[in-house]
Formats: sequence, C-alpha cells, structure tokens
Amino acid sequence: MHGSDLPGGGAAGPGSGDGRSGSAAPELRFEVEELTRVEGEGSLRLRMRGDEVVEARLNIFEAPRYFEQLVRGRTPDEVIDIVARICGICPVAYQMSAVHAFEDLFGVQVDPEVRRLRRLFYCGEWLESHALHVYLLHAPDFLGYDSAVAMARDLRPLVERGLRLRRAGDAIIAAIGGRPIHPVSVRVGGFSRAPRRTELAALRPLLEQALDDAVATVRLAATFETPAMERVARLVSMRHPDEYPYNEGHIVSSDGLDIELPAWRDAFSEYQVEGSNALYARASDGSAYLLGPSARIALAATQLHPLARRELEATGLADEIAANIFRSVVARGVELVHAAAEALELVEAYRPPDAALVPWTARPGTAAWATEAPRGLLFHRYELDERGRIAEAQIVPPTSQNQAAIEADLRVFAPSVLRLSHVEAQRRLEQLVRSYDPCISCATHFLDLTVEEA
Amino acid sequence: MDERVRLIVCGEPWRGDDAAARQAARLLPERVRRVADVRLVGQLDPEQLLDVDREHPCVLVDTVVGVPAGQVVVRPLVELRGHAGPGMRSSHALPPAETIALAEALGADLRASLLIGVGGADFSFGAALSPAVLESLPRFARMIGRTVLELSARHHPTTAPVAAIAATAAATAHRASQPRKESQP
Repeated sequence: MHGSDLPGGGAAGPGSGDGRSGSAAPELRFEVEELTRVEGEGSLRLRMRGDEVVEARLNIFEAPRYFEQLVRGRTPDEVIDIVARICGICPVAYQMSAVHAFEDLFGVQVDPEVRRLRRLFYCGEWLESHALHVYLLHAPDFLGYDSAVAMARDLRPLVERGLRLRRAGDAIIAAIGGRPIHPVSVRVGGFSRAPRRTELAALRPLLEQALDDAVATVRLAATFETPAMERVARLVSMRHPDEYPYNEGHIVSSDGLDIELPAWRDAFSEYQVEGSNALYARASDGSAYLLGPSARIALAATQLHPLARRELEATGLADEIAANIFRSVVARGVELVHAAAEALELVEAYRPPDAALVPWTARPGTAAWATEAPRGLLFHRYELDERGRIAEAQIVPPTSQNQAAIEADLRVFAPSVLRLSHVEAQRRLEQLVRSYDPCISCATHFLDLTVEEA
Repeated sequence: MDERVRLIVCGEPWRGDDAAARQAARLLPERVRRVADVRLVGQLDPEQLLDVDREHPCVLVDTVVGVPAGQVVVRPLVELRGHAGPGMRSSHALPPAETIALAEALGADLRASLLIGVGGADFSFGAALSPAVLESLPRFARMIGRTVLELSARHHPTTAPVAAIAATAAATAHRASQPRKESQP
C-alpha cells in the first residue's frame, strides 16, 4: 500500500488542510498499489480536484486468462471442467451457468432430484464464499482491524464461526462434487455420480450449526456502523416465482426490466476500457448496474427462506441494503441463513435420483444461460458447431459487470471522505470496494487503489 | 483426536516441482502410512492446523524456494511466520505466513510441528519434475518417513510400531552425532 503520490511537485494531499475546493484546487490523489482482502489483484485510481471527482477507475491488470479462447473446439462436458478453473471460490457458479446453457440448447430434462442437488450445490458455494468474505475479508473493516489474523487474536470466536460456516459449505460441495474446490462431478444431463443418502445425511450436524452461525452473522452484521451512502446504480438480479434465485428464473431490475435468462445480450453489453484487462458491462441505455447479494435481497426477498426473511425483517435494514453498498455485509448474512436453511431442508428430503445422468445429444446452435454466483449474475453464451463443439464463447462474470457501478459509487462516496485523514480516507475507500466482494481473478479474471485529487 | 501423525502434503500436481511432496508421499512405506494421517492439499489452510498442539504435532511437506533445487530441509513450522512467501497477493488463499499466524491466533500450538521441504527449480505448467528434484525424491521421502516415525514414537508410543521406535531411536542417536546440514528455506 502506498501513501499519497502527489503529482506536479506541490499538490496537497488529503489531510493537509488546504486546496480542497475551487477550480484552482490542486490535484490530489491517493495510491494503493495492492488493495487487500479482495479476491484477485487490481488497483483503484481516484483523482480529485476539490470535491470534484475527476477520475474513478478500477484498474484490473491481472493478466487476461483467455478462458473464452481455451474452450474453443471443446465438447460441452470439457467446457464444464475448464470453466470451473476460472475461480477457486465460485467454481460451482461457472459450472452451473455452463451446464444449464447446454441443457437448454439440447432440450435435456434432468431428474427432479438432480435439480434439487444442484440447488444444494449452490447453497454450499454461497455458504463458503459469503462466510469467507464476511469474516475473513470484510468484518475487519467494521471492527477496526487490519486483517482477519489481527481480528482473530481478539475475537477468536468470530473467526472460528466464519471458518465453521466455510467448512459447512465446503462439505456440501465435496459431497456432491467430489472435492471442495473445482468439483468434478457436474455433467451435462446431471452428475457423474449422485451422493448416497447417508453421505448427505452426514452433513446435517454441520448444517444445523451453520444455520445457528448464519443467524448470529446477520445479527452481528446488523450492528456494524456503516458510512452513509446513496446508491447510484440500478439493481439487477435473477428472480424466480417460487424460490430464491440460483439456477433458474428471469433477469429483473429495479427499474422494471424482466427478460429470460438467455436474453442477457438484449439488455446488456460488454465494452473495453483502456487500462483494464477485464471487460466492463453496461445496460442498453449505457447505465451502470449492480449485481450481487444486495440486488438479490432488494429484488427477490419475497422468495427467501422464511428464516432468512425473518432475520432480514428483524434487522430493519431491507431498504438500506438496497441503497447503501456498505450494508451488503448484512445481505450476505441473510443469504447465509437462506443457504443454510435451504441446504438443511434439501439434505433432509434427499432421495438419490433415479437417473443421476440422462443421455443427451449435442446439436449446433447458441447455448446461453445465467445463474446467480455469490457475487451476482454470471452469464455464459456458447456457439456450438455442427460437431457439437464450441465455436465461440462469451463468459460475463459479475465482477466485470459491477466495475462500472463500483466506479459510479466511488464518485458519489469519495467527496465524503476527503475531510478525513489520508489513512482514514483510504481505509474507507478500500472498505467501499470490498463491499462489492470483487473477484478480480474472475473478471480477468487483480486490484490496487490510487486516489488522486485533481 | 486422531493419534496418527498428521502429514500435510502441499502442492499442485500440474505445476512442475510443486508436485514433489505429493510424489514423495507416494514413496512412503506402509509402516509410515500406518501411523500417518496423510492429507493432500493444494495449499495450506488454517483449518488443517487448528487442532495441532505440542502433543499432536504435524508435519508439513512442500516444495520450497530459497535453497538449491533438490536440497531437503527440515525446519520448525513456526519459522514460516517470518516468510512472506513468493508473491502471493490474492486472497483466494492465505500465504503460508498468514495461514500459520491465523491458526496460532485461533489456538493452534505449532511449536512441535515441522516443515520438510525440497528446493524446487521449475514451477511451470506440466507434471514433470526438474532433474534435481526428481533425483532427490527418494531422499525427500526418507526424511518424511523418518520424521513421521520419530514423532509417532515420541508422541503416540502406543500406536507407533515397536520396530519403528527402535529404528528411529537408532537413527536419532546416529543423527545426533552428525553435524546438521539442513538450511533454512
């Protein structure tokens, strides 16, 4: 992390007490080359003149990973194993978006128990990912620690709770997917192997504890003091009439959009920005939009598990979650409750599917689908050739879609921290970025922070 | 707690010399395997260490940098606290120093635990080990086996094979008479 880097040999830095406003105000910038406690590697650049934000840029310079090229010429099942490697935190999401896209194109109807297993699989990933973010990455911001290690020395039970939650998620993924990271069982048409009833029943004690831990997480997160903030971006998530969105539903937005999952490109598009190795995304009117837990809570709270809905209502923060990104930590807590409660029910009702894997025949055409990764909507689109192999691929992760919203929110939030000391201002800005739980490895799939006052 | 000696084998099998520990673990004889709780992991996770204490130490085996390729080193695990590691900046996984610090903050007592490393040369993609590491594998495996048997004999005498206790006691006595050659990773 770097201190202020003052251009022009004399511009004042934040906290120096001069040159804060007016057109003659000097340029001020903050610089952090390695933003910590985010997934992946990148930087943030903020240049200000007085209270005016001249530039807010999330620089993603982690090397491009070329997954869309790597899958060309591959079969659908090979794609599922390859795209899982995009992320060690949310491999299930990549597998689910891909498998649903292919099954939609091929007209595959999976066994209803396979459908439930896939929801359970996703519960595992949300538990693991949200627990990691809330306890190891984000909570230290609210509780005044530089890291989870420092926090663990004083607040050991909290970190232990986070690790327990993560362990529960990992156990689900391992039971269904063969291993907790980069699972290997997902196949077009189902799973290569369905777990035995006893294997899932063995998860019950872990999940009962996880549910208690998740409820405690919401109640803790609701006590966190957060900076005031009014969101700029519109909210986008999936919504399903009967269930909280994981694999199925429609894409909806806070301003009335309602489209089918394969139609993502009708409403959104990707574009390149100089200096970033991740593509940005915007709505068809050019606006930024926000994905993730806050958006899901705002747009689909009616479908939360009753226990999660009860906890959300008890916080009294539903409206604030929709408007203030710092409250995303509460949203993640609520989704932890949802994931644990639904997982417990799915495990208790589980019967091994009659057909873990149904046959299918590949055909040429366009396979497109979206699912709800822990960080938000993850869209995949594949063109398949006459041999049923991938001719072209488009993978749009949530973090790259959130980049523009992060930058828009930084523009709104930055002036409020300029009266603070440089260290505190920088801490708040980093906290803001962490609130989105960016997974930069997915988006390029990296982050440094540079704030400048122009 | 499992009375076997926890053997945490780190490394990615498709990143050249990073697979050395996994390959060495395959060479361990049955008498070592019987007293070892072998855990194959890509990277060290705090949860692997939480219940480790002085009576139940663990052995972490991994490829290391900072020593000549193929050189086998044995160090107290807690010494890793002072090593930042080779440039890991992503929070997808904590670097070893932070992993150990977090485990200790959560109550793990790692003072009796050991790191056995082999110097690596090439961590590029693929399954092939570099010649120096390949040549050192039997030596690496022997050191792992001997250490596991020693710890088993010292901490879990009821489960350690009698022959192993005798063998390791003799080996320990022999080594104590020799100058120590291991260097710090």
